[in-house]
Amino acid sequence: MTPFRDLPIRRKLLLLTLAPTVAALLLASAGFLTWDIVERRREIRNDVEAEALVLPENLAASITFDRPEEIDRTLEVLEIRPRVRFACVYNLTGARVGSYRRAGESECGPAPSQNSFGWATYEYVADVKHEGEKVGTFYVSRDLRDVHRRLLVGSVTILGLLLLAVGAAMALARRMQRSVSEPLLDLADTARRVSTTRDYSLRAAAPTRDEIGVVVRSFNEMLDQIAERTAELSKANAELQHEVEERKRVERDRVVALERERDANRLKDEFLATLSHELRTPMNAVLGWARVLRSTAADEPTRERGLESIERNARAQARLIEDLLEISRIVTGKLRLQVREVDLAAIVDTAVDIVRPAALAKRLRLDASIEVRPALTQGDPDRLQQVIWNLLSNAVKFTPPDGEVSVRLVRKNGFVLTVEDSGSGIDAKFLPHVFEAFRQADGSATREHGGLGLGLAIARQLVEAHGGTIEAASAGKDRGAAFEVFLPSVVDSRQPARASAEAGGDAVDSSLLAGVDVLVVDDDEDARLLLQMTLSGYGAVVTTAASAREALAAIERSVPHVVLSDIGMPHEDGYDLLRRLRARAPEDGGTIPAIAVTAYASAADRSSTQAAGYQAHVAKPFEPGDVARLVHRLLASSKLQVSSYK
Amino acid sequence: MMRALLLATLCTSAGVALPHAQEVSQEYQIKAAYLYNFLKYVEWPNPINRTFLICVAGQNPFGSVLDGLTKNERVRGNPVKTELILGPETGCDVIFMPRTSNIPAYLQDAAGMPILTVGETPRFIEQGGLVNFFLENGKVRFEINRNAAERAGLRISSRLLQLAKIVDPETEER
Repeated sequence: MTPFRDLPIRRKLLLLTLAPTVAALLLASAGFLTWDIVERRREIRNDVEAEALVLPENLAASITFDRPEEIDRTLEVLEIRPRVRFACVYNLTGARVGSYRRAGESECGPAPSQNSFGWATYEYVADVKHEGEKVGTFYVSRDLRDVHRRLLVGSVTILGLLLLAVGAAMALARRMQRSVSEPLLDLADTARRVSTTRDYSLRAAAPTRDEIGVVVRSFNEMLDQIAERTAELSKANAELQHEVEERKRVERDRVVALERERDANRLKDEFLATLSHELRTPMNAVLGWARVLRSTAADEPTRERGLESIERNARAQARLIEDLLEISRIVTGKLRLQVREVDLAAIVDTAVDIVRPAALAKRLRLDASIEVRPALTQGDPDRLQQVIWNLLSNAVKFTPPDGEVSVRLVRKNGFVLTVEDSGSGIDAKFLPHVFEAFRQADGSATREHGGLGLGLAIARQLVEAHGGTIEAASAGKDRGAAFEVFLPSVVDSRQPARASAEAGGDAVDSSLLAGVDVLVVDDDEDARLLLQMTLSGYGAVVTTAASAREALAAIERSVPHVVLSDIGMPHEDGYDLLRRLRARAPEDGGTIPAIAVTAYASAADRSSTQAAGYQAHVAKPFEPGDVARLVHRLLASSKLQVSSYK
Repeated sequence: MMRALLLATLCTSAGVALPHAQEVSQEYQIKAAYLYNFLKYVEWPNPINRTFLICVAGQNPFGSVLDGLTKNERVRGNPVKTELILGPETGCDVIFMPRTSNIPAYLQDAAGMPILTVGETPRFIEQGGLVNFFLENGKVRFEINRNAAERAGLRISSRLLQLAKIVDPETEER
């Protein structure tokens, strides 16, 4: 059985109400019954005693004068006492001298020695006296069963009343305990639900105005606070989480950035090592052959080979520097395209022609399949040629002897140029990085192939500058590679004629500059000599000056048709020279066309030279033919002066 | 058998042992006891500090029984004496007149006096006696002239009267 303290509150309240009621009723009833019985018995005793006080008085004479029939007659008055069972009178010798017996009751036996108030009967004995003198004994027995019946009836009545009272109390208690138990039960239920569901929005039912109401209200307020605090906590938690994630992200970014920086540094180191090597290698050949040639002991074939080697290596070095400048321009965002209408077919032809000797040297099969001719679009011909030459020379470089290189140009939306080879291929891991600057598949010093690893990076930048795309594909190492360039087809009708004019032939007339007076200014004697030889070769009359001061003096002596000047010179540079020249009167040479010939090859340098008064700019190293054509063109555009000087 | 029972009843009702029971008839033993007990149920006009005197006229039929009964007994605090008288005499409170005695003389002498006169003859009350023994069904009973007793100044207890046969010759009750 459940102990009281563990009972549900509903039952507890019921018990609390009923138990005292029942107890009180029982106690009261028991008390009343007991009192009633005691009182009743006392009454009976008094009654019997009163009887015994009167009767013996009347009996005394009858005993004394021996009149039993009188005694019997006297005792007959007991008939009106229905509870008297029997009565007897004895004389002094103990002999019975009279008796009374109710019908159905037994005859009385000898008198008991004293009164006895028993359970069923009250046996009363009294002396019969006359004037204080005992003359006999009176004995009466009274039935007490009526008292017991009374007790029984009383008990049953009280029990019935008790049951009725309990029932009524229960009904009342049930009704009234609800006002106490229901808010509590609801509170308990709410508390249980809150603890199981963690739903802090739950509330106990509307509070009453008693102490339970106070508890309910406090509980609800507590829930409010918990909900509030939980919300704050989760908010703070979320913020914290966010912050942690943010920090993690920053940290990750930092690590990545660090990694990238380290990577970039490593690449730069590699690049510098490569650059150094690539610059030194041709230099070594040039210097070596120069020394051999100076020794003069060399015969003609040897000299020829030497010169050829020097030229090749110098060109290679020039190419390197050109690439470097190109990438620098790209990186600094100063790449400028000289856009005009170009024929891609022609450009491909030229590029193939350029690499053909190298391919032949390695016994490579070089296939060119050009399906559109002409393939006209807008673009910078020099840059596009650079791209195609780059792809082709790469293919030749990475394809072992007796291999195969093919180039294909097709029209497909725009133009698609594909360069394929059967060479060493590209490792799948390196494929995504193939167009990144300073990246080479083999960065080690013992690598098989030379180069700065800038070619493809430049190619991609140039293609993208033209609005195209470039992609690389390879089946894997030693399984060849394919590069596909897409260029959009853009037709601009504005400069059709000029293109052809500019494309005007490679063949330069050796008398192109016949009769032209040229002043060459350069502090470097080799450069001076080279320009002098070059221009002389086209029939020009060349005067040289080693400084700005010498140049101005020479012009004072005789005004030339054109001036070619270096920019970087000691004391007074090319800019100073031009400013002083342009300050002069036209007849003193103030309007002489001037060309800057300088190793300062950037676009900024170009604009600086133009601002200083130069009409044109030639980057060192230069192609002799280009310089000759430039001089010719410049003189043609200022024909008047030329003709006047002629 | 009957007699034996009567004797037993008599003896117990008197409450006194009878030393010479064999010498006196049972009837007189009972009568002696009744005489003595009459003292307890009758009030005399001036009873204070007096010896109760029971007189037996002429011949004593009780032997020593009456003496034995009264010896050392006190009624209402007063001692009791018995005396045999041969002629009318003053001072008696109770006079028992056996049938052998000269009843009229004694009655005449006691007339008007507060003396309880007790007889045992059938015409005793008519002659002026107050209490008279008679036998009924073998039992000793007594009759009382209540009015005469009152006239003599004696108050007889109602309880005694209840047991007695009340007679009054003047009102011709019988």
